[in-house]
Amino acid sequence: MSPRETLRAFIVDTFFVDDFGDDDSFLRKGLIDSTGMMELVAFIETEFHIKLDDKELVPENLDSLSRVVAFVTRKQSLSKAS
Amino acid sequence: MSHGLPSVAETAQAVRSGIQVVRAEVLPRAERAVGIARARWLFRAFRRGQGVAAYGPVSARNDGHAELGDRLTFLGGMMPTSVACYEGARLLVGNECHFNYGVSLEAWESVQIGARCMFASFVRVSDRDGQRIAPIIIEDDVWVAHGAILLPGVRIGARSVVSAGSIVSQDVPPDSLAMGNPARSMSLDLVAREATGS
Amino acid sequence: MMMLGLGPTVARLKLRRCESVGLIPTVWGRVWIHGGGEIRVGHRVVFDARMAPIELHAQKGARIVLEDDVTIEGGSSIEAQSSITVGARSRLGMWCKVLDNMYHPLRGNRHSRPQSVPLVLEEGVTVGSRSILLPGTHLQRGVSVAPGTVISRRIPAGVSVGGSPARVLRRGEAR
Repeated sequence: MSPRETLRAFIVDTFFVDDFGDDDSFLRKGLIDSTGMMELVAFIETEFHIKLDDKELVPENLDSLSRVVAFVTRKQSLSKAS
Repeated sequence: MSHGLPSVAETAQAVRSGIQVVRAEVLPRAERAVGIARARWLFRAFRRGQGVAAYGPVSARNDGHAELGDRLTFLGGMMPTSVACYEGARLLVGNECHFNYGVSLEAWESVQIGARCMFASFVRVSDRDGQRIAPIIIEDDVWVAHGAILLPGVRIGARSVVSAGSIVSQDVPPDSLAMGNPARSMSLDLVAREATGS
Repeated sequence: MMMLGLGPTVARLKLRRCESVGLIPTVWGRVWIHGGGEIRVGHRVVFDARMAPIELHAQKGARIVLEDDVTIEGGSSIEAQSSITVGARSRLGMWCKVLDNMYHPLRGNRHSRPQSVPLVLEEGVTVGSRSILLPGTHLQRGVSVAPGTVISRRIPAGVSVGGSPARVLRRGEAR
């Protein structure tokens, strides 16, 4: 599965929201709350074997599905390069 | 009505409004006065500001240098709050902080708390955990939610929130939300919604 | 009824501030009921507050419903600003905290009160000690929550969760 599908499956499974677009803000749409956001972060770390820094937990990286996917791909390519 | 006496309904009305005035105006003031008097006794060994009020059981002890700011509130509940400052230690609490019941605040070396902080029930703040002693600094406007534990040596940035049940072992930057065990911090922009605040 | 002795009567006396109390309530220790809201207690509910008092707080206009055969252990506190329901045969461990309101917003004026989100625990739920159930929690049938867990979302039936933030430990069939 591509990262996008994995992430979407996790979000649908965990937070019981099926109807959301790739660019919908998690926060403004009320899809994920703060505890949920932590669960998402934990999931990303275990699933994609990357380590997220506390400084990276900002809306630019995590506030919508497309942002999360872009962020994960960037992190993965970085860890492969190093 | 020809006679001068008020009717039963009028008397009842007057009594009801009287009770309402007592409930709304007199009782809260009386409670506050009692709270302030209690705090004056409980914190007699502390240097403290104006209007410190203790509404519930508090066990306070000061063998070092402890300073409380103005208008602190210690709420009562099922467990007593304990504030302890041991020999040679420094405990500074800023103005307008709120402490819910069951908070345990211990200083062995140095604990500094800024203004307008809020501590929910069962929060534990201690700068000694059996292995090491390191100072704790909590900046202004911090909210520490139910059951959180702050370990020695952490610094919580201004306006941050420590979420319920988290165990904070690392510094928390300003404007962030710390959560989990061990706690990780994320930006408040990521999660602060106006409506539910969750 | 005579065989049961004075227990239920004393319990009923301790629960006198509740709107309704079912058959044969058991109260050991002190239950602290305040707030002026509506609290309904089902049949055979057990409050075991021998170690620490139990707190039931329902704000005026709010409602707490404890259904039949619920057990609540000492030190737990249930605070309702709108509505909290605990389903039949559920069990709350010691020092649990159940809240349907955050009481303070994360940012802005800390003394304004955010919106409440009603909280539901369905039948046969087990909540471990020192767990914290935040607004938005919905535990479905037979969920089991490990001690010390923090939850604020829906957990599907039969799942056991644990940790902070909560993770699914095991998926199983609802019992």
